[in-house]
Amino acid sequence: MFDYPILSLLIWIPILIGLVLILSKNISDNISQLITLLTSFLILVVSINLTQAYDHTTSQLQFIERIEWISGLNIFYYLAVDGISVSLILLTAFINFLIAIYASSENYVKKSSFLGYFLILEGLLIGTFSAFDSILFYIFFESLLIPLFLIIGIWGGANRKYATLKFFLYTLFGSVLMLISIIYLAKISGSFAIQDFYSVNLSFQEEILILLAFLIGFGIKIPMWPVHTWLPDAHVEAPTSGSVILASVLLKVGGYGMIRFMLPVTTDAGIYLSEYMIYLSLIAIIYISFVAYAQEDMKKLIAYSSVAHMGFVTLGIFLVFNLLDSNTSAAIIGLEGAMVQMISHGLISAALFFCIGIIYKHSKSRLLKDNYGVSKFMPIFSFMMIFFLMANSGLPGTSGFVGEFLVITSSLGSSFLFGFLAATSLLLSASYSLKMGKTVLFGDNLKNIQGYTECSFNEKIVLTILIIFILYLGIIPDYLFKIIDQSVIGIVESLSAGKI
Amino acid sequence: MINIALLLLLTPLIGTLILLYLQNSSKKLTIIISNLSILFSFLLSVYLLILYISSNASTLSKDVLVFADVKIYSLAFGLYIDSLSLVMCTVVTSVSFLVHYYSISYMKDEKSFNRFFIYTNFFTFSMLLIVLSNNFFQLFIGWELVGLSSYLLIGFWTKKNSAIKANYKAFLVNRVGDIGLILGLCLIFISYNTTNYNEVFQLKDTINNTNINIFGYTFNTLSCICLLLFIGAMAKSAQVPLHFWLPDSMEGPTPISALIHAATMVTAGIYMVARLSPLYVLAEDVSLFILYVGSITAFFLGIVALVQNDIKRIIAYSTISQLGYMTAALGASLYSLAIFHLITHAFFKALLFLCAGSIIIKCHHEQDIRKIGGLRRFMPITYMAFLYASLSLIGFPLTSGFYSKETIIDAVGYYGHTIPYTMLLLSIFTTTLYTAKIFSKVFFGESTLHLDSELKNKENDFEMLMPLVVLTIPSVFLGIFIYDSLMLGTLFGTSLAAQELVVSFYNDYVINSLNFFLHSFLTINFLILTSAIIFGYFYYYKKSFVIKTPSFIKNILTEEYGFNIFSSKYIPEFQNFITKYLWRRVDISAIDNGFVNNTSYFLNKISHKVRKVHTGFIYHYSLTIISALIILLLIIGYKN
Repeated sequence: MFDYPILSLLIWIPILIGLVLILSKNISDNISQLITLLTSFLILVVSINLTQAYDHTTSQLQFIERIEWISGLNIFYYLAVDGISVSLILLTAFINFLIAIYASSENYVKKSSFLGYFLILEGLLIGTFSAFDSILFYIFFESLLIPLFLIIGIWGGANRKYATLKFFLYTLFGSVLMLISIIYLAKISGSFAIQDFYSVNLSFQEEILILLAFLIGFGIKIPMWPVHTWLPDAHVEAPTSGSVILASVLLKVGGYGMIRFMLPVTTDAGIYLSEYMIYLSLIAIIYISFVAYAQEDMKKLIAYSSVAHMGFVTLGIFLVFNLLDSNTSAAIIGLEGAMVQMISHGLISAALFFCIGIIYKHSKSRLLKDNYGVSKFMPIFSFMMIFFLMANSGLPGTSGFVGEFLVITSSLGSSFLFGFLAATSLLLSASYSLKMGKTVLFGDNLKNIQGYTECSFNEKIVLTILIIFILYLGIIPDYLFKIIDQSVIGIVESLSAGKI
Repeated sequence: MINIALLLLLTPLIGTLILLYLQNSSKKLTIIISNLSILFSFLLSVYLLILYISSNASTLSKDVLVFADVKIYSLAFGLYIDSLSLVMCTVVTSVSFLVHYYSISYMKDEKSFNRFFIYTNFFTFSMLLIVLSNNFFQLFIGWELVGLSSYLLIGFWTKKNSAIKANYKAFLVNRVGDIGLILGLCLIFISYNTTNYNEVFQLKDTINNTNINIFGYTFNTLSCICLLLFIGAMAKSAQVPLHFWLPDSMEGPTPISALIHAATMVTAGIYMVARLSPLYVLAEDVSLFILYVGSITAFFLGIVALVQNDIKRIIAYSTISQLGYMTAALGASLYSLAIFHLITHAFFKALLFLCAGSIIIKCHHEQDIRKIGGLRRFMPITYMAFLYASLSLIGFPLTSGFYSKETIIDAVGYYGHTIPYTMLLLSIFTTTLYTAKIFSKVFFGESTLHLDSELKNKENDFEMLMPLVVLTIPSVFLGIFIYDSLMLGTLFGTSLAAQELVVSFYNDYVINSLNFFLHSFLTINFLILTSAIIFGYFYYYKKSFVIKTPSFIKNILTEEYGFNIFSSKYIPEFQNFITKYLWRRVDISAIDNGFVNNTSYFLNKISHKVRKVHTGFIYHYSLTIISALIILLLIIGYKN
């Protein structure tokens, strides 16, 4: 344990430094780069410390900071972590550090503000993952939109107005519904602490309505089919680093919210509706994979692939509802699969968006047809990109496989049909991932009009670190399992004990 | 022993890593590291095999690396050591070493020389991962990794469009099989909470007595698991209808065709079924299915080889057909015979491919046998090696191929599987015929290529010829050497189930290897063989007569019974259509334009309407306020 408020530091240091970077006028690019790198490195080190200090033999909340905030309404400044939060905080810090490395070799107008927004985003994300008061959670959750809105809106592509508006309204729509249900739950339970919601007594109709509100709210964030259409547009217009943070961490907020709110609060309604939600996830896996195959824009392809992969996350989560009565261990496997899939997708999608950014820098086009024969000029880069594409298609030995394997296992515990449909992803994800490799990397390119040259030192460092961690999680993920195991078991057991 | 086995497994991986690190080093260093690591691995496996057999050790299974060990389940990587896995290791590493050595010369003009050896070393590691695995989970991982190496190596020439198409196809078809394999694996894992072979084998009766509900029908769990796993084997071992990736995989470099697509990777499916024979022997319905799949593959795909003209494609179809023999043996529960044919086939088919590579190099990458000719004079060593390999392939008495193949055919007949027996028997004819076709066209007759001046430089260099000579030995003699001990079950001991079937066949029909050889001259097999040789001699060599094949039959065969057009035209077209349709109609038209943008359009319209109310004139507002007040008051008054 630490004798200082470690979670608050993790949240507010990047936010404050980010604000300084944005507000200070005459700060040179080099200094802002240095500050960003140091800050994100510091946050990474501290969150590694947090992970090591975290006691993973219990499912209790740890590092609790609880201060009264708005006394009349019983709202607390309540921060804490469990295994699920810790792993996501580590992912956030890790990805932000990589973005800091990557962005320092790029040129942007008003670079210091650009970097500042990313630091703010980092703080807000850590806040979202560690807030245990629902109002505090909601504030962090909503504020996430602002820096990302600005990043896409200021540094984005040509069609950024449409994309940002769509992104903002879409997600706002969902979170309004969420706010209503949080207030309703607080009204009944008399407290805004998330854990107090777990023991609230709701009528079945109320529970269904709240479940739907959460489903829409978090489902848009994740995103689930059919509310996913904001994601490809947002990705296409976002700058590379924006796409990276969006795909690898922001989407996970949706999955995190589902685990934190939906599973424990609306268990009975979830059990009732589980089949429909599972089918929605399966549609996301299969239908979106088909759509991904049809894409002509690389970023859209990976964006759709993200939706398909997040389908595994939602599938794993909803399987808990389905398996709670019959097979608790399968439910635990499913939820662990969902967690591993979130972390793994965070790494792989980040890597792929970096790769697309690197290609785009040379050819100034993200279309598949404008890029070909990259491997001839960028052999090392192509080797890495093939690796990431393979990881994206769930190759064993990479982290992409672990989550899918566990979720498929769990879905077979429910019914063979679910398992079979989920397993088709093996074929579908390979078909669109390798299609991209086939068209972009291979083939002959005589003239090199795109001007491909081997990627820079910073880019190589970023991609190499990602390869190492994707392999690590693919070959010996034991440590990650240890961190999340007790928390996941705790959630599932409390569900089956409390609600049935 | 475990430590030695671990070293044997890891050496090729360490080689890969060193090579990766030394990406741009000299060719010489690459050659030394890659070849030495495989050679070392080979020596270790020979040592282990001798140690294992001489010490009469029992089966050893041990976990070495924890993958995940949490409260309710644990997964680990482990090693399984018995004579089956060690024999397989020896076969894999020996062929791999010879192919590595051969590639030094074959690939010498390549720009990405190092990359080639990185991939091949990695392949050897992944193959050993499958062979030495002690659980289903690791089996699946190795399974996918060999698929990856195969993908990378088929597409080794990244600029060649046909190669890029072929490796995409190969990977996807294998993924279809992997769906079956992963479902089988997950089903075992979820039902019995373990993936360890030994633990699952102990549960086999329990599994056999439980049922599973699939799409509303009830099935026996064991059959279901066996069938799902076999679907994986069908893709990897190129069995009908998932075979069509293998002929296209010949786009890769020839040493790769020898190593991956003939000797080792494609036999992974056979090895898996044999490894899991304690389960498969109980699943009789699945075994029958396997028997038919194997014999259909052996017969029908062998015929396709007759109409091909690319030397590598002919040998590829021959490989599919021979894999069919192994599969048929598995289906008849003659597991040791399948492994026997696997071993001999690994050697003689690798030899055939390496000879083909030697020919291709000499003819400057010309692969059409109609253009190549008369090579006997220029390439005597290749010629002799090819001759011995061919004799082994067609099952000429006393060669290795004779012992392994004829025994399968006779044993399948002996156990009364009449239809498969007939198909396997008739395939002797086609096998002999297409071998005669290559042989007479390539080594006799006249070449249409104008390479004579270069051809007179005689044979290829030593690196390419040494493996040919070495491989000739097991291709011809290995059969008779291990035949008796293999048939009596002393070689594989308890590794394989249902050995008693083979033993009783041996005691009843074979008696001993010499007797089997002598007896073979009186069988119908030999009659078919000799008639095919005579027919081939007059048809291909002497050209004494011409047979006009009806064009529709020829079309069916060149189109591979429709698989060709199906895989290269209908599937991609269907995929393009359906994916484009879903994207444009559903995603863009319905969800985005219909739902999302219409909502905003609707809101926009309403707000335009509402905006008109905000005129900005004070008298409009005051009028509205006053009239609203009056209406409100009226309502209140009315209510009271």
